Amino acid sequence: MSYLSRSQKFNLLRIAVSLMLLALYFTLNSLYKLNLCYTLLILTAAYIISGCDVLYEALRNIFRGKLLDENFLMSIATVGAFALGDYSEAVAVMVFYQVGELFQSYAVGKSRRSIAELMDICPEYANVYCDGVLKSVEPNEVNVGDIIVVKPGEKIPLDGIVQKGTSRLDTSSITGESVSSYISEGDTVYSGSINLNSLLEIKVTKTYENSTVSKILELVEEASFNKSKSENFITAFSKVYTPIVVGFALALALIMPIFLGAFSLWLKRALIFLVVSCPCALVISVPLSFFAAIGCASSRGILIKGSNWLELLGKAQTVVFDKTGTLTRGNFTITSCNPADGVDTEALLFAASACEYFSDHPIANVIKEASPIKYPEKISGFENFAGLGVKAVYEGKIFRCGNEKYISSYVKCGFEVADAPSVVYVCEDNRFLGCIVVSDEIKPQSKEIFQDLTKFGISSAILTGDRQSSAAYVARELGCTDVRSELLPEDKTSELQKIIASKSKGRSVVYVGDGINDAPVLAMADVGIAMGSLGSDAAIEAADIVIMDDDISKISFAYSLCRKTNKIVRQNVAFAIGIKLLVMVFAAIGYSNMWAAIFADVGVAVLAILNSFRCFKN
Amino acid sequence: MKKILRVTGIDCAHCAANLESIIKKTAGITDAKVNFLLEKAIIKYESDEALKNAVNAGKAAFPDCEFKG
Repeated sequence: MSYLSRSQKFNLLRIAVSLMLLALYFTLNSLYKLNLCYTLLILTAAYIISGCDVLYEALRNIFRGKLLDENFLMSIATVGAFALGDYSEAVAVMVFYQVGELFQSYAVGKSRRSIAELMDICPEYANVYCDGVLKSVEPNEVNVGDIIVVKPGEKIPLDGIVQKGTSRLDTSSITGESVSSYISEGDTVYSGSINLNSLLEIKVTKTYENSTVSKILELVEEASFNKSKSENFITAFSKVYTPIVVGFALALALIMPIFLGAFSLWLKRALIFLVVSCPCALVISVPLSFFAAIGCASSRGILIKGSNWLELLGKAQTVVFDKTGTLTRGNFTITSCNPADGVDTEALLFAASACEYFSDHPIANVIKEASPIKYPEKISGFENFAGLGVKAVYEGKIFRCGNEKYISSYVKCGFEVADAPSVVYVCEDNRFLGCIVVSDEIKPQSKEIFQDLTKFGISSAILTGDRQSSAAYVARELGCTDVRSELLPEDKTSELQKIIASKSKGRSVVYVGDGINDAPVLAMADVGIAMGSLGSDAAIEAADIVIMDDDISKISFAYSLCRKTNKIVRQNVAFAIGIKLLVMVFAAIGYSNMWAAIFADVGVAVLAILNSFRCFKN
Repeated sequence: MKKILRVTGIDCAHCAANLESIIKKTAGITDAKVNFLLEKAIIKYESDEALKNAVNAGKAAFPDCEFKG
């Protein structure tokens, strides 16, 4: 309660006084059966104290022609109830209406603050040398190429390259990951990270506007402007809801008595309609839920560019993954060396390394790294056979390495390695030396995400430009049955199109890639998620949801969050509309009263807001 | 041209939606979005004159509401 503003505290006081007067009235009335004069005295005081601002606003709005404003409707309902002699109900409606309003403004303020806390990544100042003296200036006054100094414990204000110093950086405020990373001269650093150990001098590479922090803040801010279907529905619904309810109220009060008489009875029922005519519970709780969820996600390094994407991710039917760099690390490692009988591992690697010496393929690089050649001048006769392999001569020996087809045309390959990622066969003159199995390392979190998807009942697919054998290997390791390999970039879009065409109505297809060369696919999917986007503006631009670091398992978290949010939104919509309808139907046939109407208005609003607060807790 | 303004003094999301449609209806405004929770408006406009008119129209309908650049 310490966060109440002055006007909120004042309103709380007014509510408390009015409630006490109301309680006083009920106690005295039950004890002494108060006469009309005392009743009116106590209750009018309570009514004026609680409702003066509402009445004032209502009057002001009449002159501005805004008759469907909630202040006006509440005033009519309460003044009407007073006129009909339902004094205590009139006061109760006004007091509880104010309780609802206060609660709403408290809830909104609270969520605004929570978001502000989550997004507290803005650097306040930058230290620059000015005529040899270190001065603090606004980050937006620093130019590209300037040298800034970041002391231990300070936030890095602008993106740049380390010129001097080594330190550890905490990037948790932008990636959501509380692992610190070691940086030294020449490394690129991003604004929003916190310098942990020692002084750094950084050469600025981007202006403040283009720095990572500004990009993230801009993205999250604009996110809430991309409205989800449910939000658009609520906005449209609220526009027609009030006029329709007021129309029914007028019909009840004016038309029904013509046929059935009993004017005051029908007027009373009409007033109940007016009390439930405000759509506030819905209008506030739906965006509040999405807002909270987007804030919660961004604190984990997941940027959702709008509640529409959040809603769609929650309806995922198929998640399609790019392979290299998304499911795998994108760098190759040797998984096993299988030398033939009588050959040792070093000799096998040496032969392969000599062959690959002039080649620049990622696989060649990993082999060269495993066995560096000391005397490269001894290599001669290098030849490259595209799609097959390479040949080189070293000290008069002819080494060949390549795929099975290539090598088996010279010697008999001694091993059959089925379903392996990439196998490099090696021979020396006419002797088979063995084979080296090379694979792209699968990220440890990739397995988790496939298990999670199965648990969620979401199907998965892998699209890759890589060869069938290595794609099949990754798919088998991860337990994915739908793998489409050897795709050119344009094939990826057509394959994704096929997957989208086969989805069921109301569900969505999600594509997960690194965002660097798959922008068209990211854009085509219902939801495009880019991974490892820290520092990549292109990826942030192209994707709908951006995961700042490399942790693919965050998709499970994001999905659960979206599911939960969608559920809460549906609950709120169904609950609020349901209760209001129920109260109105019963009111029309004479089975509900003002107290039920108060619950349908204020009670529902409070419960819906409390429900939407659950989106913050994850 | 596009501008993000801070909007305060709006009571509820319903009012924000109304304000949004008022701004949108002003001549020379190509698009507008008002976000109640962020207290921000994104307005796309053709001339400074149009932006000024839109802000005035908003203030006329919601006297408590204030726009800050």
